[in-house]
Amino acid sequence: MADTEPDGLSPEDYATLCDFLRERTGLSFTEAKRYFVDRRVAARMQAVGATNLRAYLNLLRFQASGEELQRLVNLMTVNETYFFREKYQFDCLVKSALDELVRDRPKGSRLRIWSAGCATGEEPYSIAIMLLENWGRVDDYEIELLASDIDSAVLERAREGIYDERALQGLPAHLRAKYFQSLRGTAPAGGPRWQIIEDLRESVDFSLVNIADPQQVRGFRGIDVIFCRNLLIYFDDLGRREAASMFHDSLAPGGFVCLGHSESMSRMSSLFVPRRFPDAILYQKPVDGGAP
Amino acid sequence: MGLVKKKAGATPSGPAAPDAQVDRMADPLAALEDADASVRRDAAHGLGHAAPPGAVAALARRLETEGDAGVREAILTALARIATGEAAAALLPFLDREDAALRNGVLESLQQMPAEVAAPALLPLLGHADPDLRIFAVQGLGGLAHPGRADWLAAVMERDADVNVGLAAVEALAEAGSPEALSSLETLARRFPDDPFVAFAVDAARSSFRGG
Repeated sequence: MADTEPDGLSPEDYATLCDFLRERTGLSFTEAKRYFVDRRVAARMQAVGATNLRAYLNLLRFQASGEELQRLVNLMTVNETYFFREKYQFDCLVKSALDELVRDRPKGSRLRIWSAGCATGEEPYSIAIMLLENWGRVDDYEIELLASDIDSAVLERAREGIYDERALQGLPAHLRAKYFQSLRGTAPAGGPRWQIIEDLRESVDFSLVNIADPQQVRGFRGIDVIFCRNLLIYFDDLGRREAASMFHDSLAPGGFVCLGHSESMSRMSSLFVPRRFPDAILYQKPVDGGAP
Repeated sequence: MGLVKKKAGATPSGPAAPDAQVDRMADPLAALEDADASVRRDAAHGLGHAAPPGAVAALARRLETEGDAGVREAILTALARIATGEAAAALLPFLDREDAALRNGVLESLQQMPAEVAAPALLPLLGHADPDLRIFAVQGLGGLAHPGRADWLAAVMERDADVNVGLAAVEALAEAGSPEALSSLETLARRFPDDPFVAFAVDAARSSFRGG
């Protein structure tokens, strides 16, 4: 490895770092992401006083607290989202998928929905609002909303539930009035700030989870619907296949996975059956678990 | 009812794994035979990331009898992740199975291995007596990013006695559009002059190679 890296990482160092990140986090960075990775790693190396990549990798590998790895991961993940993004999928949830899931379930039973890769919380809060506003049977069931991300910084923001105008742009005015309160002061990017009402903040259980690590995912069992949109695009083919397998294990029989509009489960795994509903395509774990 | 509220002061670190399950994972080779499918799946995943001696053989052995689709997929992915000559060789016998989903999973795993690992395992199958196995070899090789790929497929079109194997090679080449294979395509058409589907497939591939 080079001792000094004034113009970014050498090709060998870049490959070493990418292998390490893929192994530990599932995140996959190709040569096309070189500039993105170089800048962030250089910033972190400078911040911790590492003079070369070997020293920095040692810190990432052996630091007992894992704090530096978490910091780097936080920088490497993109968290661009907004309320009601790709709303047709939420429509599919409340108009089709949930009714099918509860068809044979008694009132009062539990439904578990997991937003995997929830970033700053817009997705799970959007699901909560959609359920309350548009699913007529919402009060018949105990609905547990789980949300997770690998980035600890965005999870803090998700728990706070404070957003700027841009995040709320897709939200009708009456929903903004009902589920948000205006805050004093301005957002970092300018303009007003809004906070999700406490009642809704208490309804989403956020947790720090690396979905590439089975130990961390093991507690997510009996899930009825998993939203995992635009997250697996950061994984390589094998990582996606492993994640799909993990979701299969987490889902209850008959449960659904909802992917981003550019993603297709059939290119990742054969464990799921594509289901075409009027509003969207979801991927279903067969009711018999997919026994061969 | 409705949305369930979080418990006050609950840990934000996510649901914990059951202790007993963590204990069983201390020996992943043994865990691969556990009665609980979740334990077997996690064991396979773990072996894919850190394979002790005997891991490949144990995974292949489990794949023989595994009845849970999720575990099977985890084993196939683990072997793809281990990606050694031994892992590739361990997958090959499953190409002979009746179960199409298993065969497809095996092919996918071979294609997800580095080409320099998968190709040496698949190439000998091109000479297998069973044309079905030769077709799988063609499909597997066709999905590899290897400099020898076009030559291997061209040789199949020029020499394989079974028309369906030749057509599989046409299909594999057509996906990538390899103009250098045009003469092999013409050879295939000449070798099976009375088969209308060969004429159709060769015509379609020819147009695609020429960008027509």
